[in-house]
Amino acid sequence: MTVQTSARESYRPPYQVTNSAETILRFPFPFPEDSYMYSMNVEPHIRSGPVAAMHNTFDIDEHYVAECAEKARILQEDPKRCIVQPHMRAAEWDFVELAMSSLSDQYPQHFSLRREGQDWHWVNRLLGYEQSFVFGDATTLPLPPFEYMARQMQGDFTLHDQREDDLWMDGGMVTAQADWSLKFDLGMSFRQWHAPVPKAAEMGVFDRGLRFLLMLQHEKPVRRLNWTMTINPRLDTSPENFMVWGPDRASVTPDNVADKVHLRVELQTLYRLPRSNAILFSIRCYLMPLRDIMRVPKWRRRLHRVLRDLDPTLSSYKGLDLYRQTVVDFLAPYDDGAPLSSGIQPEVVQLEKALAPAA
Amino acid sequence: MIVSSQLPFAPLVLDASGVRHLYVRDTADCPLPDGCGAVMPEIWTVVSDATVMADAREGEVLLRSVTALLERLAGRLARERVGLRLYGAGGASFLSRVAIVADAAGLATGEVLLAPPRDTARRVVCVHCDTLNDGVQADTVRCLGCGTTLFVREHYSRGLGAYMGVGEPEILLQAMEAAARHG
Repeated sequence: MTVQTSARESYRPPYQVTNSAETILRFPFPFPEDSYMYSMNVEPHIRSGPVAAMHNTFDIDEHYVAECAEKARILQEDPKRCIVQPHMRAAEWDFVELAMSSLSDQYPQHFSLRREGQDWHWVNRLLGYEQSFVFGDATTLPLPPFEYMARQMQGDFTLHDQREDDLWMDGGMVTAQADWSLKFDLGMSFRQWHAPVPKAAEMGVFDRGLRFLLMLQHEKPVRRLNWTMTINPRLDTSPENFMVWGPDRASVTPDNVADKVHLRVELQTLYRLPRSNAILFSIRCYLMPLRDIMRVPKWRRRLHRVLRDLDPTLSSYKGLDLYRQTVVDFLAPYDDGAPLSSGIQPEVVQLEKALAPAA
Repeated sequence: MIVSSQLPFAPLVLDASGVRHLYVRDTADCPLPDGCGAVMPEIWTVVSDATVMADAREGEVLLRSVTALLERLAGRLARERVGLRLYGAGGASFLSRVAIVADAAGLATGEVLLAPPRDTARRVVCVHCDTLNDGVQADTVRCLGCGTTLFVREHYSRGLGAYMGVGEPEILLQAMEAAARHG
């Protein structure tokens, strides 16, 4: 994956985010079937999968520098986006080790790590950081260990302590979230922080999910995809700033729908951490405008079918009600109803040309 | 199973697995836990009276205010060991604050027992500006801090001791009203 080394993009007005053909084709399109309902849909996070975004432990793409810059700006505006409870110190270092070792191993052109006993030397060439430190000694880093490293990664991260047969949200850095708040959910149990999600509880999804995660093993991470939709390429769709971005939901028209409406996909990966026995939850966010999704025939047809038939409760919960019909109407002429292959893979190696507006 | 982030309220019953029992309440009207008799909890009661002395010799400690009780509770729990059962009764706001003090002291789930609250007034934290709005009876409240009209979500943070309040941009309210009329 080619990575831009400067941040020319903007995730707030005036928006300026573009996706290369490579980025579009590696997008983790979230619908393996023509209809959608909640499920655990968990699979091993191995270094392969139907799209390239799944091929690394932590995915780095062309938006890396711009996303890290946006994250730094959000943290400066609102320091409560990063909170770690004191009893999570061991988990912080677990995270540092997992992140630095996998990034340097899988992206040696961008990151390198030299370890001599507890003396570590970290280089991040994309952001221009170089740091010698003593592993386990927080005074040798310029920031607390979790914060130091999470700032150098795309996506959100939460740390979960395991006790009383439950998982507790006892830390995290959350700047690109789909309408939930770390400062509010901090300290909550698994079922507590999922309480606002409709339907899934009665389906037993959370009970099964929790039982599964309590048994998650070190070096056997798992992944799943989750999705919603976002108007404009805005990473920070937090409740904290809902008064700022919420009005965008009323701004979609047939003329701007292809550029305004984005499919927001979270590649969620979970890792058991070895020293702390905590769980790291990584939420890697991808924003893809309809205009780009249109260039993959399978994806545009399937997105049309999923949105057309979406359960109204889910549509409301995800905040789609004001513009879902506009999206469906836009997509309908491009769906001939032909059967589509199961799975999320694009089934093309080249994109179609950007489409002209529907006749 | 019920999925909720709210505090687990239940009628108070003395838990025989406890070694020491402490009952805190924000008025003397709150009844003792069921099962009191042979075993009696230590009782702390808020009486809202600046002349009372927090004297334990009478078997019941009288505190001048909720704040005084909570401060004393924090000090007590810091010295406690395994085996204590903490019981709380009173208003919703008081119980929220008791839970915060208990959690800060590291008490586990079964060690804190809270009676169903006497009132329905809720504490609501503004997610936009962090202001705590106390005694909220309705489903909306104008935030004391930033002036936003907050809609109270059925999502409770034990750590903050409050429900989440989120504003709704005016243009969305209008658009949803229009959609409801046409659809």
